Amino acid sequence: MSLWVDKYRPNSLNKLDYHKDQAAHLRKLVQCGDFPHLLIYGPSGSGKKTRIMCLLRELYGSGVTKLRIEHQSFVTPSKKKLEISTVASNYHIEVNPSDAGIYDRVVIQELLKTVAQSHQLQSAAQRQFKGTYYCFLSFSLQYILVVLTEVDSLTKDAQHALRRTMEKYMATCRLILCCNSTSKVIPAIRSRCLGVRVPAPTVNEIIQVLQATCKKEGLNLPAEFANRIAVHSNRNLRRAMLICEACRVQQYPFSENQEIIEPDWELYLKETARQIIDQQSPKRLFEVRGRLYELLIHCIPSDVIMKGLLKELTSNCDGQLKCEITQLAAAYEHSLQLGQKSIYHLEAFVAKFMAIYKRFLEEGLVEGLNDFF
Amino acid sequence: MNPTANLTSVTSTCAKLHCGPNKKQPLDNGLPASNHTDDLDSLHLLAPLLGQQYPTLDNNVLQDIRKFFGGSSSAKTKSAPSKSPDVPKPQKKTPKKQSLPLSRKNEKSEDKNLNKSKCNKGKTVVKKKNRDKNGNIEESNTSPRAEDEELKKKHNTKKRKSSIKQDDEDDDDFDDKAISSPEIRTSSKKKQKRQLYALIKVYIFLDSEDEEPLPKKRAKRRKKEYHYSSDEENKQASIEEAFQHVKTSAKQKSKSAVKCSSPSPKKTVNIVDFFGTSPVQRVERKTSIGNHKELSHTAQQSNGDDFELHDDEDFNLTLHQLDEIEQDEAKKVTTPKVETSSSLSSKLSGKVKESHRVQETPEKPPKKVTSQTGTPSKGVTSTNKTPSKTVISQVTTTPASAMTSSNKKVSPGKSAMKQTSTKTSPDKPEAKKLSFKSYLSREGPRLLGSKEVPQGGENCLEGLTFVITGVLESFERDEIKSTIERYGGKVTGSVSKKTGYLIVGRDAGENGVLDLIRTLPGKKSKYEIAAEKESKSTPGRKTLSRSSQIKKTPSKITSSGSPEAKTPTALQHKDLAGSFSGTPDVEHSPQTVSEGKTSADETLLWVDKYKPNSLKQIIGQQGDKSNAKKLLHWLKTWHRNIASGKKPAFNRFGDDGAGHRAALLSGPPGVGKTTTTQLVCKEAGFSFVELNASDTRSKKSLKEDVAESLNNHSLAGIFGLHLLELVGLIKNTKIPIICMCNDRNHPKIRTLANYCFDLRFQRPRVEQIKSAMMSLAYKEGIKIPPPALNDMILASNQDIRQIIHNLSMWSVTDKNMSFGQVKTDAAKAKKDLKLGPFDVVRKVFTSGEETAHMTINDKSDLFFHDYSFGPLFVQENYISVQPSEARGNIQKHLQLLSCAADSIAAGDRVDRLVRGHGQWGLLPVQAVFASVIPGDMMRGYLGGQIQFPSWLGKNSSRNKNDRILQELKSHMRLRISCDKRGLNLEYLPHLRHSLTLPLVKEGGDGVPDVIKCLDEYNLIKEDFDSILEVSQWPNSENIMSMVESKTKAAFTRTYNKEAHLTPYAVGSSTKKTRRGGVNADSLELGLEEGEENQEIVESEEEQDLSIDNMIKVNRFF
Repeated sequence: MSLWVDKYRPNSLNKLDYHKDQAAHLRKLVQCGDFPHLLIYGPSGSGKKTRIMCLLRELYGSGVTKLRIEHQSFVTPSKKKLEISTVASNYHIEVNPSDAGIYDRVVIQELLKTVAQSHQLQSAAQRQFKGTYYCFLSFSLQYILVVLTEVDSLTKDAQHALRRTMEKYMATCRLILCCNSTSKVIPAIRSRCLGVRVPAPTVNEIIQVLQATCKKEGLNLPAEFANRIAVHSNRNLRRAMLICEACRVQQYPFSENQEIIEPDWELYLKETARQIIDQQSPKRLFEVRGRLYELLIHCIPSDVIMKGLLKELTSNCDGQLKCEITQLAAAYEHSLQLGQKSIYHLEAFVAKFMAIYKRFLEEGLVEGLNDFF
Repeated sequence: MNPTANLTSVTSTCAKLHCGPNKKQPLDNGLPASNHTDDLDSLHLLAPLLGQQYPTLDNNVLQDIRKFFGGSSSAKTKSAPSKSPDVPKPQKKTPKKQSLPLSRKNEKSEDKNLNKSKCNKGKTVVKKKNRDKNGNIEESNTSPRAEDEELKKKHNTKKRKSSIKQDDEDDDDFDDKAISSPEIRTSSKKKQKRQLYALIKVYIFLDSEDEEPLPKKRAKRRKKEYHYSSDEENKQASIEEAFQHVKTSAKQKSKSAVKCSSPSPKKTVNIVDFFGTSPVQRVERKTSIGNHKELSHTAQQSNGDDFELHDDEDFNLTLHQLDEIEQDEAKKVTTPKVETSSSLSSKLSGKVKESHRVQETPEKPPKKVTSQTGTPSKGVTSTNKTPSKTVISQVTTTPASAMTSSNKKVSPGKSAMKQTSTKTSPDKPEAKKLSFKSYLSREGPRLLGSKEVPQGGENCLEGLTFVITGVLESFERDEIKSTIERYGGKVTGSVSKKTGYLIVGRDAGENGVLDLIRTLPGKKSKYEIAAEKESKSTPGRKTLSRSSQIKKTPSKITSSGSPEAKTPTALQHKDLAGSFSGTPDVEHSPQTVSEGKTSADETLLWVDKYKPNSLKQIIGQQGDKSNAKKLLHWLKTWHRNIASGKKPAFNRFGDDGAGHRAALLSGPPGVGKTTTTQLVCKEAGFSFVELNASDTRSKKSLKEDVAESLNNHSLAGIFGLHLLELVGLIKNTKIPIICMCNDRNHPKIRTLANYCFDLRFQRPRVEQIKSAMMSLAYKEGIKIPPPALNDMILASNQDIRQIIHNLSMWSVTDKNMSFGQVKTDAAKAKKDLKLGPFDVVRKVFTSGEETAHMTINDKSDLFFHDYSFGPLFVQENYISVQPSEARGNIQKHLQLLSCAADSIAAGDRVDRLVRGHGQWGLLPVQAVFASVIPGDMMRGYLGGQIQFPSWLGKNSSRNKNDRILQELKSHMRLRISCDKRGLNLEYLPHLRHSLTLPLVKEGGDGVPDVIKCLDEYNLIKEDFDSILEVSQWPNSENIMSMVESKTKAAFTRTYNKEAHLTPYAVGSSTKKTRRGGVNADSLELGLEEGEENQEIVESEEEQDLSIDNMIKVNRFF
């Protein structure tokens, strides 16, 4: 009994629900045999991984869906042992180098080196094996595909290592890089790849998908409710599907104005923001710090916290203050990325907001009084 | 001071003295205060004068005074004591040339000054000063003339009882003063202020050249005289507060003056001259009043007019009455003070006396006199004749006072303070507020570093006490303070009766000090002198203590023929002490007793050499409530208490430790724990065995050692010991045990402390150590300036042992340690204190004396005490600080918080560069961002406990959760497409629901669904738990608590029964431990034992299966 989001995941380029033009492009790209390194990027929940799997399947057939988890171990220059689990089929290997933390450079260098070098021997056998089924592809099978996920969280070191490796083993392997944003990928890598942007689905597309899914489940989803879910999901299809299912579990048949279940962390974050608005005092700042710690403990990414706070806080500010706060939030988010301990920056932001908001309130009070008299 | 103007200076000072009061009167009347700076010196004069008027009024009193003079101060009075007609007699006896000339001179110069002042009145300060200088110059030119006139006047006085005449003059002064003083009290404060200004102005005008000595001299003399009379008659014993202060200052003067050894015998005569019969008063008075009038007119005063009109006798009478009332009031105040001062002085007197003796040869004073005034040597002879040298010593103040230069503000005492304070701040509350505001907004030194500190003689300021107030023009306060201390002066925080100089800022106040340094002759430190004396003195005399000497002095006075021998005032004591300098009987400091030892002990370290031999000698342990006494009491009553089976009281206060079998002494090193213990044992008659943890390290050997020993033993340095063993010993000991440690709060010691009588040794105060060190230096013949010793003590953090070592080391090269040298050495030897992060963060944030003077380097040094923990502590605690800058304004507070937070965030960015990129050179930058700036922003009150950084704990639990997520993700990887973050944010909340809701809603029936779901996502039972753990929020209830325990058990059972295929190879070792975890879980859920066995079997099966599984998976390809 898997969740809908996994149950109804399309597994071929033909079956994709949206961005069909792009799917056609990809198919053509694959069909002509060779293709460059790919850099697939787009927001979370837009279907990047789904497209990659479809692409692989298009390329290698259903064999690609037989996945296994492998553990690979590496030794860092400082003799530290690293264990990285990879997902692999016979045709490709998927790895998330950032699992190794600051040693991701080692992972990239070692993994790509071993894969690219050792695959030569195997490829012949595979080609033969494959050849019986996919003759027209046989010439391209000497390549092994390496899928690297979360490329944007790679350290600069690792990215530079990657850039070198990409050129060096171009003859034996192809890379598919997957990330949320290219802004953190160094230009050198971006220029070596064919960028494929997967935009987030529109609200309508999400509604269509939800409707289709419910139909398959034999459920009736009111259009209005579907719309609300789509909007609430923030154009994240995965989230929309999960919400939809959660709502189904909670109450069926659906009603138009059914409550949408929000994850606990979102509620917690909103409550935190509300507390900041409620009162601006050192004591409250201290309490907010505790709540921020709680969020961080639960591995809520600090940029998500920042965004969530900003969204809630600005909803309580008027025009000019909104701009000011947003600008500040951007600055603090930036410094957060440059820093180490995100709590410092979040707290600094909260403190700043409190100071500004307090001033704003008191000025408002004075002005109000002036108006009154 | 011009050496050339010796003569003139004397004359001019006299003149000053005389015209001071004259001018003062108009001012008292309310001359509008010009913006002239106040010269507190004037008060020196005024105060005594004020007190002096009474004798002149009352004939009885006068007689008494005469009596007094006859007895104590001068030879003349001796001959004719207590009779008013005889007053002139002494003058005849005493060289008239001395006394009369002076007074004449005074008159003369007074007139001149008056003229000058008339001219100058109403003009700006600067101009006045200039003129004054000119006037002085003129005076010096005219001085011969003045002398002539003096001579003439001498003759005149002879004819018409010159002494009386002079008394009259003085009386005039007094009257003026009397007038002024009630005025000051009664008139409105503003008026008073103005008057004060005026007074001050006049005095400045007069004193602007370097000729203050006489006024002071006079003042002192007056004071003394007055004092005598007061003591004797109890009628006029009371004087204004100011008077007291003058006394003290004069005392100081005399001290220093004595050292300079320039006693001028003229004084003796003068004193007598000041007192005369009243009739003549009137005559003189009129003239003075005339002067007043003129002055006041020229000054164009509005307030003073009515006062001037009242210069008739009636008015004066009323004024006198007023004053008498005041006197009565003051009497009560003064008498005790006098006593205290006497005791103080008695303490001091020993040293001073010695100096007296050394330098005060009987021939010297006459020489001085001749050189200065050109008076015939008769005066010398007369002084020699006089048995008491008190007068001489008084007279000697001249040089000292002369040294006080024009710009220096000399404050005689509280009255001076009063004046200044009234000047700066009107007493009304609003005015106070205003002045406080102006105080807050006052600027710093404007001309910092513009003046060079002159090179002065060694110890030239010794014995002088300074009080600094206001903002000095070209020095920071610390700077001038250290300069003064460098030359032996003393700087105190507030004005007391010892205060000699008040340095008033925001004008050229500090010039005075510099001038002092420039002009005062170098002299030997009194300590040095004492030491020298010491070495010279013969052993036979050693027995006399200082106190006994002082007690004896009065009797000696009587023997010398003075009827007023009983003189309890401090001044007298000192002077008397001085007077006995010629006598062979010399008192000795108690330290000399040990002198004999030194040769024998030369090989010993000083620490051992000067080890205290009795409990009383331990520094800082003399008090009744001292640890030593407590310990002694505890030890003495030990056997009784133990025998009676007394239980230890848990009352922290007033606990005498009865019932404790052991005592725990804790305290920093070098405060005398071991010494105390040893001496206490000696005192209590115990012998002791000393064990040290560094000798006896193993549990076994300790047991053996202790078991062997039958006596008391002290275990010094118990760190590293087996504390449990020790506690066991303590519980059953038959003998007292004393334990010692440095860190009372060490976790190891805490266990021990529960069984012990807890005695904490504090560091002795600086003064306590200082006195002991001075005596040590004494014995070793080291010359060390006391302020430098202060520095040394502070540098070693009051570690007595280290101070002694340092002394011993530094004195090897030079026994005469200079201030500068010691200061630099002390700075070098500064104990490098390692502060813990808790102390550091407290120091970062708290405001106060300790942190007020920290430079930016000091502040950033705080960061470097522990640069990895420091920022964390700062970040943890900065919110709980109450910044003093905010002053309760919440908005300001928030702004400061925000600034601090910004800075901390910036510090974090630097931290990343430092640690992530190895740019360790940026550490100082981080120090500024992470510690200095937040500290500066939030500096204030850090209330409550300092929190340990929570970041560490939070971070580790975050990392744990991260690991869990990582594992979950790797397990679910084949099924889901998202990354760790998406898993956490999106999947888990829903997975949590879909995994638990069936259990909640359907109970046991929901179990298969849940297990199916787990299998679908390749999750194992532990993942189920960790999903619940990670997705548990404080704002949501624990969903598993809603699941019945029966369902839980069923779930576990069912899950374990089935084989679950996972695509990942779970490490067998980790799996086993996890299985253990499951077992524990199942036990919790109440599984029977049998099932558990089954489980284990199953787990083995499953492992096989999982291996199979891998094979199976491989089979796909």
